[in-house]
Amino acid sequence: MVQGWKETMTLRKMMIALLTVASFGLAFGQGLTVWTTFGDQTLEWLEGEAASFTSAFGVPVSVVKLDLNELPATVLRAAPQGEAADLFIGVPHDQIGNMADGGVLADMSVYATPGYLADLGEQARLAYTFAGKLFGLPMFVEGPALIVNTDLVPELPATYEEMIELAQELTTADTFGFMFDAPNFYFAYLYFRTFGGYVFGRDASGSLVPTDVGLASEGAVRGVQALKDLRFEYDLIPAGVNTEVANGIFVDGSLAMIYNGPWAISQYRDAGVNVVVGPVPPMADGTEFGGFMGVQGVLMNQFSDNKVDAANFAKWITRADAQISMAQLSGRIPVSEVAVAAVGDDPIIQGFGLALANAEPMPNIPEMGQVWGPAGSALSVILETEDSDVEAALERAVAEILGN
Amino acid sequence: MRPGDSVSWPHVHRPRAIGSHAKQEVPAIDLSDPRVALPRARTTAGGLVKSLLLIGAALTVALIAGFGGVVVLRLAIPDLPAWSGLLIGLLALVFVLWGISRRFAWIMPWYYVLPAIVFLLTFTFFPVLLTIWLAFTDYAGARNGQLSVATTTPIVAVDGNRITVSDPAGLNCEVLRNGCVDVRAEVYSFDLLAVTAVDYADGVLTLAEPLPRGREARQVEMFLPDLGFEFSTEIESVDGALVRLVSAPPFAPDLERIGIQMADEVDRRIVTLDGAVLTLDASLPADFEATAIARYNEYGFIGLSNFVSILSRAQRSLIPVFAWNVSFAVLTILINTAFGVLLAVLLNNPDLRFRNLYRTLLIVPWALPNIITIQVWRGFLNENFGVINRVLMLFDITPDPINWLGVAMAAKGAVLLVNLWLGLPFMMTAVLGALSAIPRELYEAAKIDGASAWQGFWGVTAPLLRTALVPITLTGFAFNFNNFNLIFLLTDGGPPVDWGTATARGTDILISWAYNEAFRSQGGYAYGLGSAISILIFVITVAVSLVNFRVTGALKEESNT
Repeated sequence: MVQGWKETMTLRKMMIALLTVASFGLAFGQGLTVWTTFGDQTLEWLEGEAASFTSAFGVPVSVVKLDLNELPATVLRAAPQGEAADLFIGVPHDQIGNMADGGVLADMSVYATPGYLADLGEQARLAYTFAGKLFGLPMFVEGPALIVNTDLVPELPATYEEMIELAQELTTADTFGFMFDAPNFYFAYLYFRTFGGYVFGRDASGSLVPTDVGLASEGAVRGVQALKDLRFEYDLIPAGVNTEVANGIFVDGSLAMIYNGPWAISQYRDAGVNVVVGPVPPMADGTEFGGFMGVQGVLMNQFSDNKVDAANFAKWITRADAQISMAQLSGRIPVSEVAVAAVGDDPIIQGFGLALANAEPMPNIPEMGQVWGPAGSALSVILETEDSDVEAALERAVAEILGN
Repeated sequence: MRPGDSVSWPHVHRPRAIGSHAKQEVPAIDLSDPRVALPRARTTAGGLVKSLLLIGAALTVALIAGFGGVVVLRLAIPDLPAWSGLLIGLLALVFVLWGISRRFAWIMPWYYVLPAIVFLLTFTFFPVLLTIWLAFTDYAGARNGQLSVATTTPIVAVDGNRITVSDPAGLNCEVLRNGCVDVRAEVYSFDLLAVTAVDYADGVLTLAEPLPRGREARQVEMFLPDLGFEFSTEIESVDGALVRLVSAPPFAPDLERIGIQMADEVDRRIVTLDGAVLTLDASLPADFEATAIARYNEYGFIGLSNFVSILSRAQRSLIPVFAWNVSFAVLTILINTAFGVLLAVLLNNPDLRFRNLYRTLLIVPWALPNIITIQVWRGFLNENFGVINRVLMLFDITPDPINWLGVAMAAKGAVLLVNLWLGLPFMMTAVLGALSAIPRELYEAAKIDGASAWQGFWGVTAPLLRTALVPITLTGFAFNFNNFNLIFLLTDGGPPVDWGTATARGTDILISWAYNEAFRSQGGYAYGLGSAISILIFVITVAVSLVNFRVTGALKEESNT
């Protein structure tokens, strides 16, 4: 008895040892690891694509979800140690310059096939190009648009002024008219840009000039004043509203209009809210609204020891078919012109397309990393009290961005 | 008999005598002074310095063996993983230690603490030294010592060690502290050949013509018509026109559309950059067709610049952050102690019914993980939708909602409030323990003397609690001085204020400010600056602690007072 038990023990130990060695082999040898910022439906989509890739090419792919705020920093820290994934999926293009400067991104120009490049939208290609190199394969364009609850707003207002009026009427004890994450620079840029502000100026050749920051220009001040009016003049956005709060009210069906991106659409649909998507209506003088837009795609780790398989997977999930299924699922606008033509009649995608027609891709130079903090701080200070000094706060932010 | 009075110690034999002269009569041992009576360990025979030197020598040998072993073995096995150095080093260490113990037997006991010494060196000394070094460098995201692919710039002409590039701005030299002077670089030779093949079978591609010599063929791109997909794979070997692939494509490739990547690279240093002409430290190999060059993100010693830049901006960051940090720690301790004592005294009353129930309930905040409860508090504190403002307004305590997390003063209040909730159970439990040590008779005596409950508290409880409270409050101060969790999770240092910066905001304490500088500003990763702040924090903490100890007299022995 005892002898037998001992034998099983050694056998078991050997099996455990073998398994450990095997799993080490798996971890260090074959197979791809992918870090993604996708969630919910887009994550499921990615896992589905990974499964079909594995069955076609026999390369296992493991998908790991990371928070968007921490992915670039984690990659910069972990990649040189050989501890980051082979591919990073769903990184907005404004992080490209920062990550490329850190030396952790592989130049993907060599992996972009002529067919893919010919089909790729110009704006998406430029967004993912830094220092003249394509640092990733773009998949889709996304950005915020006006999302309207049709149960509360049967007909879209024709002008911005009418929209504000309508929103004021709808702001009652039970319902809210118009809300969004106003102190968040990503959303607030709508007001900066529409009124003439800009992040970085461009030189004669069209390249961004990091020393020319236009966030305290005369237009920017007017824009931020208009944004501030939403809180103090029209009483639309109370303090304490951030994306979660605004989203929560919209999901409850008590918010008429929200300025938000396609990532929220599935949540609204699941909650049974009937939505229409479109641009923020133009002002009475004809000025069209337009804020930021972002391009997301696949980036490759410069330190990956499996670049060839990684490139195959990157090409696999950026093919037009994959972009079409992604778009239909999530309301993102594909970057492939073939895919755009295929999904063009989807009302949600069409709405985002119209809204983003006036939008500007976020700057992708590394200096952009220094903009978010000071700009967001300035907006918080401005929106905190009614008597805040818009111009002074913006000028301080610009000084901080420029490092003075 | 008091310890100092012992007269028997001169008669006690030296401990060595006990072992070596067993037959000798053993005198009576006076245990009143254990320092003298107990046998002295033989093991310190070698002396502290000698022991540490031997241990240090063993570790050094192991370190050299580990690094050297990998370097040497990689000549034979190029793919040897780096962790094999650890194994070699460990083997060397065991061997050296065995050798030492044979020569110096008395060192054996040191081997028991050796793992602790190694961990101490690795996890405490190394990070500390690294932080100190980084504080004097310009290490950051764009200067992290890695190859910067983004700076890859085409080469138009090569003349010995002088290279002309098409676009010198592409090297982006201005972000380096000295520009492109003495900077490591990688010179590439890259080409993508479009070729045709005549046959493909079992992972072997037969090209129409053999590949040109010189550069190494690395990768094949082939179009798979059945899948509509461009497939890449590495090349295992090339034999004339036969190309053996690492992984076979799942479908037959289009033999007319084959691309082969030819590449090679050499390591050089850029000595100077003059206009578009780069001078390298050595010329390139004769048959090397240079196509592009990329530089490394060099970083290096910049002296006190980090400290200068912190101090020059101190008005907007260091000073207000430090002031709030100290007041946060002090106020937290004062408030928590006051409430802790109050509740403990109330709960210590034996006449109170259900007091065990209350005690249990009041310990709950301690049992829940902070990381969850602080997030819940964030929700409670929301200006328009949080429960706290709703309750305050329901009872008309405040006419308008308080913007708890959006106004600096209110946010500071919120931080103190939440920290009270988090810290109260510990304070209360500690005080309850101290209270139970106060004899009931003292209160009875006070009562007989006609003291009121209030006088009883100040006359009996307070002085007797002091001894127990001093160490608790001191550790509490030290803990809260660097309470990163609370600040990070509750307010994230916010709200932004007009007297601060994007990294030093309304409720930022020194450590969260350092975190912001190191990981969030300057595009994310100004480690050098963050390390410099850490060193300043260390200096400040030491100074504060010294003042603290001096004021409270904690350095004196409590029992003597």
